Amino acid sequence: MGCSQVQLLLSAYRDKMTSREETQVVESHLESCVDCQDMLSQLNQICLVLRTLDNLKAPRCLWQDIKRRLD
Amino acid sequence: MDEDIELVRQALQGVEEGFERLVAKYQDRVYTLCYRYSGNEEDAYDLAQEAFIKAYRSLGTFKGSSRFGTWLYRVTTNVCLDEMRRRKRQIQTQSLDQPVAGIHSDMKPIVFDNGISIDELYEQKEQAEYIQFLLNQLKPEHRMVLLLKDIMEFSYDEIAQMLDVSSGTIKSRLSRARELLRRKLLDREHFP
Ligand SMILES: [Zn+2]
Repeated sequence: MGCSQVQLLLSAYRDKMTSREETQVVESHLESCVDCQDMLSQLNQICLVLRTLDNLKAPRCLWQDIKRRLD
Repeated sequence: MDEDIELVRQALQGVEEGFERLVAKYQDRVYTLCYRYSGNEEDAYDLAQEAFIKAYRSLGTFKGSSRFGTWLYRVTTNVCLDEMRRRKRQIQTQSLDQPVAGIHSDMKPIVFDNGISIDELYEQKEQAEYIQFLLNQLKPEHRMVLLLKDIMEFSYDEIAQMLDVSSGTIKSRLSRARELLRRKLLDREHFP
């Protein structure tokens, strides 16, 4: 399998959502391909950055506004 | 979890406090999802309100087979997607020379928890705003799948259920969305 095909699988691979065969193909390719290793590490960084975005605080008047519309 | 079910039961019986406590418990997560999706505070506030009102009106359909949070985020997701579709139609029917008040239009500061230094805070804030800015440029379907997987941390199957598509579709859509975001970050030489 070439780089472009492997790269299509990396997103699912990092989520452990590839089949056993796909996982084997990806892992054996990664062993010898720096480009795909880089891409995987960038993907991991992206997911990390998104996961660490803070939870925001909802404005305090939210419940009052909801209540007004429900009454 | 059992507490949520009890609160839903109360709300269904007309005890307002039951729903008030559910709002108090979930409002930050719901608002955050709406903010990450819409990219601005005003829309996020409207969407969050709409989500809770829709949830209240359909509380009777909550069966308790999933967690209340999951059910509520699904309602929120649908409110966001519906609103986006509605706006799209509106924009299409607007005259072309009118300025479009798009949902992506502005980027406002994000609130942060305390506990870190001002410098770190500033850096993180810049980074978060920048990521939000890039998220805003993605198509709604790509943005939503990133939010649900990488921010809300739902599984492929849960997201597939929420969006009413197959798990395979989620797999490819997520792959595409991450790739688009990766390229945008690379364009700005954001990676070391
Ligand atoms: Zn390769």
